[in-house]
Amino acid sequence: MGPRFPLLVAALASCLPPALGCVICDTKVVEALKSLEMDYLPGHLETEHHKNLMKRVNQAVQDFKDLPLDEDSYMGVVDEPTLEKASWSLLKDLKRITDSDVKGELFVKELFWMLHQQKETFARYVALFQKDAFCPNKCGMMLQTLIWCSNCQKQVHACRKSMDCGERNVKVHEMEDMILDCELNWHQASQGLTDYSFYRVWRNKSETLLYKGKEPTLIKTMVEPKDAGTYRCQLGTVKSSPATIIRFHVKVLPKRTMEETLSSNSSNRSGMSWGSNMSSTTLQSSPSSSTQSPTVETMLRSLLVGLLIWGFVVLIASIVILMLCYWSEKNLGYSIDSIKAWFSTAKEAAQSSEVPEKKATQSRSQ
Amino acid sequence: MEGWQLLLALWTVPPIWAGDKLLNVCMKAKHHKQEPGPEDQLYEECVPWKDNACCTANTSWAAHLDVALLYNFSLAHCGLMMPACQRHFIQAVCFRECSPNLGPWIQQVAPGGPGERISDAPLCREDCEQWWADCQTSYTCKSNWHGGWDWSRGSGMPISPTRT
Repeated sequence: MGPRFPLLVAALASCLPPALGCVICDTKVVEALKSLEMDYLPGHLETEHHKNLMKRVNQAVQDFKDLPLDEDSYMGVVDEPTLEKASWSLLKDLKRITDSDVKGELFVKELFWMLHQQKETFARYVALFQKDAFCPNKCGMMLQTLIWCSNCQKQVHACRKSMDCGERNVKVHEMEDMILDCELNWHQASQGLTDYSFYRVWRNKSETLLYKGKEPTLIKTMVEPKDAGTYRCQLGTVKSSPATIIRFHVKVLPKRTMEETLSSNSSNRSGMSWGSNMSSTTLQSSPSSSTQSPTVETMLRSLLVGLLIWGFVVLIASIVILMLCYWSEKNLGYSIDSIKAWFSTAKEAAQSSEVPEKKATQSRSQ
Repeated sequence: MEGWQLLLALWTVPPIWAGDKLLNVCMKAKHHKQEPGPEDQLYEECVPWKDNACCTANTSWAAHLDVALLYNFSLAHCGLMMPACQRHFIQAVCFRECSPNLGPWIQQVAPGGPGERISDAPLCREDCEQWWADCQTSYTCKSNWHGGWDWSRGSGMPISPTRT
């Protein structure tokens, strides 16, 4: 019951000779191997073995890519950082061998043992990449630059996981700020992204564009009951389909009571003003009512008064302590002598108890 | 002369009569709609069929996945395909799922049975050549995709793969 692709057989009959192993995609590795052949071998190995050795070395490096194909460990691709890590590891070990000036048969043995080790290291790096870094998005579509090991080509691969990235429920109190965040952790790493767009989705399925640009968060201040409903955010790409679509279902809850507002507002407002200075877009709604500001002022005033009173108390307490110290300084000699006397009597008592104990232990041991 | 003309007329009538049944139809298969119709939410490579399609938006999305949900078959069974090459396969799936004009090549899967499939649908030469050129640097592990798959792991893997 497989798929029927009538002309696949013909199209895929092409057969390329196995190309280069992955590590050899790095020019530094190619140069290092060249230098090994040109600079190191003459002088460390008999001339008649050179050609054969280099052939075996090149074959061994090409074999790096011959790992079993498995979607959990190796899919024939790596990313730039993984390739760098693997080639650097190989170069480091190669330099260690050439620096040691080893010759002849020992050199050959060491070289191939090192290549064998490096292949295993490469397999480990690739498995790590496949597990953690390959298509890290859990939803939507991410464009990731990958290097194909078979031909060393670097191309952008479309990692498609799902059509949209789900729905979020957002609850916000009336007269507070509504924040819609469209950013996911893999957005920074993706290629080919264009703009974030936010839409208001009406009952009849039509949409109004609210914002289009580089900011991933939409903030609407001073929310009113009519702002409740469905919103949709979308991150566009250079292709015809978006990277991410998220739906927000916004509920506007009743205005919070005075006490609640006072305690949350003071922290909210300082937080919000900082937020709008950084990286978000704010939608200004109609001018707010001024009923809240006087109550905030009185609260701040009382806070200030309390702080002043507390400051005075601390000042008075510190003065009292200073006076006490000065007064006791006069009698300081007397108080220090009395302390010394107390300590000396304590010591004598301890020593006298130690001596009988020693005598007791000696008698016991005997 | 008249006899010839009569024969000619007889020869053209059946195709015209059957014409309705060959064009603008959807075959009876797992993911196809009953009737072709406009779809405004088709995904990427399937967009050319949006004016009249046998596929739904969900099917058009599924056609693009590396592990094609449609048939539990992974195009990446021999490692990841290069993007330009993979595109042709996705287009082929879109063609199969969405085209309302496959009538002449629809066949019964089993004689008298309910299922239908496409067989021997032709391909444009330019498309074939472009397909070849784009896939030259990609690999498959089977010389013939018609059979010899191991389905035990869920999505088809080639039995004894050898890279070609």
